[in-house]
Amino acid sequence: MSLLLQILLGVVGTLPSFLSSEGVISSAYSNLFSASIAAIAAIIADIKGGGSASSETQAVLVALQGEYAAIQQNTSADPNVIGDIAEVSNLIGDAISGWNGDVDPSTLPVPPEVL
Amino acid sequence: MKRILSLTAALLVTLCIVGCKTVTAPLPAWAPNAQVAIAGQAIDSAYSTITGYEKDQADCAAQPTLTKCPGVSNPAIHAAVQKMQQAYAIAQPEFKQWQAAIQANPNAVEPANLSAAVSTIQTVLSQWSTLAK
Repeated sequence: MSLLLQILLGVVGTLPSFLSSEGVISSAYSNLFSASIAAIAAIIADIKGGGSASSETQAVLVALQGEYAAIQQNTSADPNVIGDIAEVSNLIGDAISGWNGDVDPSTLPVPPEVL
Repeated sequence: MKRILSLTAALLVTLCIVGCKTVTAPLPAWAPNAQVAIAGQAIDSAYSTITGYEKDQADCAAQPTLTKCPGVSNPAIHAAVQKMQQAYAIAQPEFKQWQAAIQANPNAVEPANLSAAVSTIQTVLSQWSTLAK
């Protein structure tokens, strides 16, 4: 749990410098920050509750993804930043799928060897 | 920016690890019991990590100036992904067979190869959280 907390707090702690330096609008930052805090609170509540994945955690992760998606719509931001934001958004989507157990692992292909 | 992406990736991997280690009800539809769910979630996490890395490699080959490229070329991360890919190549087919077997016989024992490969995946995932920082 301490590792999880450390990483979660690290994410939130780096958000201000990242977003202010990239010129992202303040309201989008504020929303993203709030969504991150909500995600942390829900995940910690899940852990305290025995570690089961609650619908609340799923909801806050979806909300967090939504805030990233909103920033993607900011056409004034650097295209490289938008690309990175899109990538984080996709990662969160993968995490939500993993959290929900949406994909039957027996149906996954064996990926090619990493070169 | 690179740091925020790395930390976010680490966060997501850790979420998966937490999920792997603490599977309780409700189980995913494809998992007849918690043991199958734990193995399956480890495999799913490995697949996401491997395919994500492969995409990053392709992106950086096309555009080497991307902020994520220094991390992608990190030898420690590369070695970790290779190790995970090897474990995944063993685990996924074994999982498929075990999942089918357990449907017919709920007491079907998890193959030793699968258990070892899942353990390797979980170990690499936990190391990944550190490597990605």
